[in-house]
Amino acid sequence: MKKLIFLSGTKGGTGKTTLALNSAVLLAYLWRDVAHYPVVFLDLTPNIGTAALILLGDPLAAWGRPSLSDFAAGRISDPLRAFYIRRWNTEKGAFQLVFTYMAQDVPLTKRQLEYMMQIVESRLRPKILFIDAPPLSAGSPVVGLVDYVAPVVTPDVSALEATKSYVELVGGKRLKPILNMYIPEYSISAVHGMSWELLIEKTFGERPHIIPFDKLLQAARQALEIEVLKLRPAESPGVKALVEYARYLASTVG
Amino acid sequence: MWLFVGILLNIAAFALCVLGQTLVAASVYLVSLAFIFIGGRGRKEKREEKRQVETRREPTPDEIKRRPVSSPEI
Repeated sequence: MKKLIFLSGTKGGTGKTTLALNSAVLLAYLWRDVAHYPVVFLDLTPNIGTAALILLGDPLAAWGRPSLSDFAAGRISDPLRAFYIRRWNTEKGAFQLVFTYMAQDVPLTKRQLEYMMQIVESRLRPKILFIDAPPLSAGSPVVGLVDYVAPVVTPDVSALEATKSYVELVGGKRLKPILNMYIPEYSISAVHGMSWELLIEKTFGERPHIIPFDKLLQAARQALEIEVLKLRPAESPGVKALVEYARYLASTVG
Repeated sequence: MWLFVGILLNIAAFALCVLGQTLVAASVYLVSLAFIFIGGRGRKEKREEKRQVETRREPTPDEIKRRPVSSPEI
């Protein structure tokens, strides 16, 4: 089982959740015949993150159900009791994603997270585990526990600075950086006098994968829907770029 | 284009009428009406087409919500 996180350091609003959730769904679909539970998704955002809300399908669905917060607080001993399955039926067959979330703001220790990962690996045997964490600092429990880190930045100097400081700290192999919400008309960083593409290449040593700003992605998010399941690459350049990155992940991580 | 020619002919018909060439003015006037009608119709069609393309390009969150789940193109 490979563990992957999309990271922007202490910076929020860069699109980590959108990238993690869409990539997880795409790989779950791609590997639907390879493993029974090909992809597991951890939403570590306290008080229910956006990804968990979308996967649950109803903001009230989390009420009364065990979550990772209960495991962190010692109310349940088996972390798998806090895991759920979301299943989709499409014209080309059914596929599923296993996920969990934090219903309350209870600190999860590194030891608990490590134990939970061991249980997931031994009992669910997924190919990949996606971790969607809120903007993280050096004290985050995920530090040192991931195999792959995908840096996500927006055309914003603070996003770039916050991300580059934390990529090394989290550990794991760095994947191709992502330049999200890119507007081609504003391609130059006014602070550096250099194109954003070159600036990111200079920072991370690799040309970024560009995901253009796309109003349709915003509309799908407002509808609490998973973009790649409701929009076609032909109508949405954002979805097209998400699919291309998932293909890259499948060839690199899988 | 048709509309522009129609308006010019209409002005010419008026000028001919003022000059006393009533019969010629009447025929020019009829031709100008035909041009104006064709030009006006073409414009309306274009505007409707444009509106349809715009709606297709940007579905609302509600429309996206109501779409069925489709298999991802990966």
